[in-house]
Amino acid sequence: MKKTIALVLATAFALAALVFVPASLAAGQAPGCERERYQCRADVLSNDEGWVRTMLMLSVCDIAWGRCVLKV
Amino acid sequence: MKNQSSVLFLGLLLLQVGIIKAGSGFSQSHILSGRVRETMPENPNSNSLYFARPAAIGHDHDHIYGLDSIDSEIRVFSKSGAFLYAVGKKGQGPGEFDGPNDFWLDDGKIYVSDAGNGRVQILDRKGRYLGGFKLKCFPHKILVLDDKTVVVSHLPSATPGEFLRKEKLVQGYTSSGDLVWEAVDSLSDGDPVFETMQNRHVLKAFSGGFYFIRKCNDPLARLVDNQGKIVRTIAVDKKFEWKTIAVPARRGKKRRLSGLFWDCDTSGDFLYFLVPEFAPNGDIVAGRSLAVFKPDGGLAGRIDLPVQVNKISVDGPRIYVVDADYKMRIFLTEIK
Repeated sequence: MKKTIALVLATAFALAALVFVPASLAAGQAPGCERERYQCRADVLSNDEGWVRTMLMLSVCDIAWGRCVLKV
Repeated sequence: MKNQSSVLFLGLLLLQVGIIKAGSGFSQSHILSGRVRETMPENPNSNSLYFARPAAIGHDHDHIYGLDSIDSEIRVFSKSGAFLYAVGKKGQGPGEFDGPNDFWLDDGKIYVSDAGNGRVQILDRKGRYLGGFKLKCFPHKILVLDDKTVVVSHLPSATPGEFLRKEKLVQGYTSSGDLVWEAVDSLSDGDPVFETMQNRHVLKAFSGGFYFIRKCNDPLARLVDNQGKIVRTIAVDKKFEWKTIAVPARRGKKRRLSGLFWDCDTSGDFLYFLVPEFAPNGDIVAGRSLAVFKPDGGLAGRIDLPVQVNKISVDGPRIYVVDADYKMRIFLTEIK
């Protein structure tokens, strides 16, 4: 019984990953996430901060973009 | 008499040594005294001298122009630093900007890289809309060539997870927005953040084309003609001291960022690099000295400014800057 439940859950998880993640990634290519990412990066790059700090902030922009793509 | 002869001989010897020294390493050193003094604008405490976020500073025969990306306007000053008027405002209509990041002055017109709106706008010097065109990317830098080709560059657009790919960073357009040519491959790395950092660049005009120069990790300035062909590369003088740091990158790796300049301008035949410097925390930040290069990449000299500056525009002996407090200031050098 336990084995069957585990199998069903694993299958459901795999199907969800196959169906939802690519759909979310495709949505990320929509202008919304791209534009937000651009705005974030443009703000960071025009800030005249030190280069290490700039890189950290650009990474934050990419994390935000990832969240937008996955609709977290 | 003997003492007088000895002093004369010694004097001549020193003079000769001085001449030889000046003629060897710094043949153009007479253009650079290193002495700089600030000229006060007519109203030194005017709020107009302070920018919210300065994106670029430039000049023509009569005026100084400063672009503010937050206020989305170009402020126009007299050559003595008096604020005259502003061009543009935030918006999406004609003559309005959204996060503009560069501009170019040409033949009575202002070409604006209207980055947030993804377009180029052409205005007259009073801000009246003359034309423009949409772009497929967010522009980074802009200039206009002698033949009126509008040159627009952008930064790599790779998103995390995309495969390593090169893309052309510079495009030439007609003034109505038709793409004519593309030039200069990006330095690709697979890490979008590092890729962005090492592809930041400036475009600077020269007779018959323009310079494409990256801010770091690339010792070559590229001379591109008005057909988009790289006609020459110029190696930066080995005497120039790069500012290098190891930066964290993906998968725990460390990579090197070697800084060439913070901002750059041309005046006459010379290239002026605002040299970055190390902050106490080890980061690379804006500097306070200008390295001057000859057209062949040879180091011609150095100008030390009394303050840290973010943006420069060199107008012969006059240097217009935006300092670390985002205030516009004017310095005079003894460059002939």
